[in-house]
Amino acid sequence: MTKPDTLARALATVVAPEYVQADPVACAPYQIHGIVPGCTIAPASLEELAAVLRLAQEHGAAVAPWGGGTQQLLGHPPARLDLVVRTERLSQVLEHEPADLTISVGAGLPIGALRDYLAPHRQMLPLDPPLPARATIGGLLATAADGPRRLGYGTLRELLIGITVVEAGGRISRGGGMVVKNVSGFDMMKLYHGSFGTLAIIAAANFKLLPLPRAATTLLCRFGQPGAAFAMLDALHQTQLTPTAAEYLNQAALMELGFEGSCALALRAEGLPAAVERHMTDMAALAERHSASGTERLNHEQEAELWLRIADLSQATELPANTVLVKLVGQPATIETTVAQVEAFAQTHGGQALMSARALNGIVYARLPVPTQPQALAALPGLQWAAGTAPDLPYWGTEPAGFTLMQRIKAEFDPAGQLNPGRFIPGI
Amino acid sequence: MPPDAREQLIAQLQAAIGTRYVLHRHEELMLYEYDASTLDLAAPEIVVVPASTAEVVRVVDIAAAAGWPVVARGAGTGLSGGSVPAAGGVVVSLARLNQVLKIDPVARRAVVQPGVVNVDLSAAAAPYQLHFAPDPSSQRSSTVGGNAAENAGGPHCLKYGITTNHILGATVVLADGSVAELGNAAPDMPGYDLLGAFVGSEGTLGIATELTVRLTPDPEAVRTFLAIYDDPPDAPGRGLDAAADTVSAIIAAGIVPAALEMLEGLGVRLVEEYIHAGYPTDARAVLLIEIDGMHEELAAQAEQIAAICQAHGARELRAARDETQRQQLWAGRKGALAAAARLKPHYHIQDGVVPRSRLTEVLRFTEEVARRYELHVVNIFHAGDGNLHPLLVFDLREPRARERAIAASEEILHACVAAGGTISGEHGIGLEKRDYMRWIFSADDIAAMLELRAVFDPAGVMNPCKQLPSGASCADIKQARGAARALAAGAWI
Repeated sequence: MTKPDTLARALATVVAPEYVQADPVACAPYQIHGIVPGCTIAPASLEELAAVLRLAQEHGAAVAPWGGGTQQLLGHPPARLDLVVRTERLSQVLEHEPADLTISVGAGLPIGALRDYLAPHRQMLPLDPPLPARATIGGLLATAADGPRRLGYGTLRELLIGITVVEAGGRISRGGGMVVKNVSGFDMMKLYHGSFGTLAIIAAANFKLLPLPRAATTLLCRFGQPGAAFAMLDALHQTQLTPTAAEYLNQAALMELGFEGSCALALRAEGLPAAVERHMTDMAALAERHSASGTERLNHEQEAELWLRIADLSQATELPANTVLVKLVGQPATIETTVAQVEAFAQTHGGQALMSARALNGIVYARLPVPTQPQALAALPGLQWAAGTAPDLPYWGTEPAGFTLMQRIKAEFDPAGQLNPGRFIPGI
Repeated sequence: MPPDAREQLIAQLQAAIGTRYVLHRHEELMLYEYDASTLDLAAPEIVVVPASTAEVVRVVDIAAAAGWPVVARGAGTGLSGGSVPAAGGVVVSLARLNQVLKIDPVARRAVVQPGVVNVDLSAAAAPYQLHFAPDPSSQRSSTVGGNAAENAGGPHCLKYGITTNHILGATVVLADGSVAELGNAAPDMPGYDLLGAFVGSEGTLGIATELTVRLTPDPEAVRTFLAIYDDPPDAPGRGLDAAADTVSAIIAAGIVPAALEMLEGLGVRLVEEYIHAGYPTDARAVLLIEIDGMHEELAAQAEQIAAICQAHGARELRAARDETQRQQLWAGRKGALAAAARLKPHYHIQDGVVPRSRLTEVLRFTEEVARRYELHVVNIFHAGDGNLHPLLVFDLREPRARERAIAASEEILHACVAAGGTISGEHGIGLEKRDYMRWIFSADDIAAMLELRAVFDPAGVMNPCKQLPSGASCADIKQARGAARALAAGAWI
């Protein structure tokens, strides 16, 4: 364990002292699973970030990167934690060429701020993760976050065209570039996307942007029972319609959103007004054919608000006491079974599941009561991660394919194991 | 006569996968010394044609144990020397691994062997109204494995993304003979995105022997247009500006066309004279614009596009009346290489990318460079994503033609980088542009990539001398093996 004072003194030589904190009270907000770091620091530039990581290595300090802090409940408690490196001052729009539909931003920029910045240009980075006012670009990349609109637009994996990172020893390296099509060198962007801060700290990222759609409308279709909703999704999947989101919401999720009913599908279409209109007509007809108990078309403000709240259903930041958020992944064809299993699991454990599922992507987010034996969660189908404050969760699902290669990558990029030690899949 | 190392290796490989599938005679090997980039030639010492993952493993084990490079090869249509065995060694042809193993229309995915030809996969998926979206111009010959290795593009990548967005999983034979599963049928598995790193690694991280790919639903409707631009007599070059401005304006209007291609200058005439695609031979530039989606959407977009073309001074906007006309317009675009060959027999094609807003200035520069080096340049390219393909045509029998072509393309790539772009959008770095990597990446950037390579292949068995610049030159590698061979031969004395 590094001495906080010694480390802080050294750090204050490379970053303005008011951005270096070693006082336990000041550091408390940056606790991870109850473990308070000895120091926190907020470097103001790429160079400062590099200097910080160089010093951290010299002092053998264990480092956790911190963006908006919205996803720190993901992952195991840290094995060691000396220094939290905050990216909040790396939050500039570094380059934006509206005509080229490309942008370069600092990792600490909250995605909501980016959304606001782009709106007057009628452009967007089409990711709609939970808590956009706080969630930063760097954190979203590191955790491979998603949102309901991934059906239409994918995740940041598809939109990332360049990246700047600082590795454990302070080495700055870049991948990709500032153009929308690029196969020069290895695709390092993919390596850092979803690497959970264990290979390097992301300092800046370049994206391709899309024009804001001219129209967007949402259809909320309510069903008496899940079977009907999933039958409609199957039918929808076989059409040539291209909704940008198709979210399944169970009873608890609907209640949280202020709606009644046992389950619903929220279906969104975006694009040219005529095409959106056709989606609405065709999807409403499909819903009727599948005995929807009610179909409601939401106007512009209503629907924008609804989607922000749907996105927030999968937030892993402020979970009610004794609950856990799990992400389960399968195939679109298996979602119905997964949803049923989750409902049954929650009942067995004396509670209710709150579920939102990106059904046509095969992804389920569920908020569940923590079982008496938290490891019981591991039996849920396709468990990818479990996040919460309860101890002893099955934080990550089963060991992924290619795990030995992953261990070798970790050893190559962070040989001393200083970046987020103990937090990712055991062994990394 | 005592067998030397090569003959020993041939014997071992023959025992492993069958005599028929080990090629070693000079005339057999000559067929494997080039790809479609044509300027870099290097013959392998042996070619093997394995029929299964297990056979690929055996081949890699044998070659790696002997310290010989292993170079995977699909159809050899690459445009950067990626499958040219620069340091000699064993070429692994994947021609016999050519089966579509499974199509799952519900999950919209297919499992294929790497030697499946791109269009054959789409043909197999067609009964389900699905297709494989990457559509490089070589798609009638190029293979899915090669497309994945090079992270190939194609006109429709503008809307649907390049190959990496369409590969969901891969079974890969690594340099140590182990077999790794990369990626997963389910999205978002925790852990590092090994598959994402593998796609586009140009055969340097391993050999894919099975791939799970995404299939894309066929659009409800497609419309294809040809916009024609002239140079007014008093303003030479205005037609080119107008075409390039149209490209930017279409994108800025919020339209994401399925494809947005440009042919300009000499290219229009050459293509038309050869393919009779219906392009006007006197045009300064033409745009091939394709939109797809729902009927309602297309009607509105078609109106917008017509207005934009008109506002930018297009002479005419023609719409393909039917599928035959559409195919004809595309035949012109996809047959550009062959058309250019009528002018001069040899070519060197580049693949730089620039921000869309810098297209015209870089296009002009290609013409200036061609003039200076006394070459012809044909620009036929993916305008929508700023991916240029300046095709320099020449006759190698003319004095210093090869040197002039290389120097000219170097200048052009330099200009792309100076404009904020990059050196390859879809053809790969390969052998050809390896030394230019330092123009866009720092020593540290390259060091990080080399570290990743070292994880997969510490000894540099897989496709050495490609993609990343490194300390050792190919000559060194070849020489080192030569010494080993001499030694092995000596051991029999």
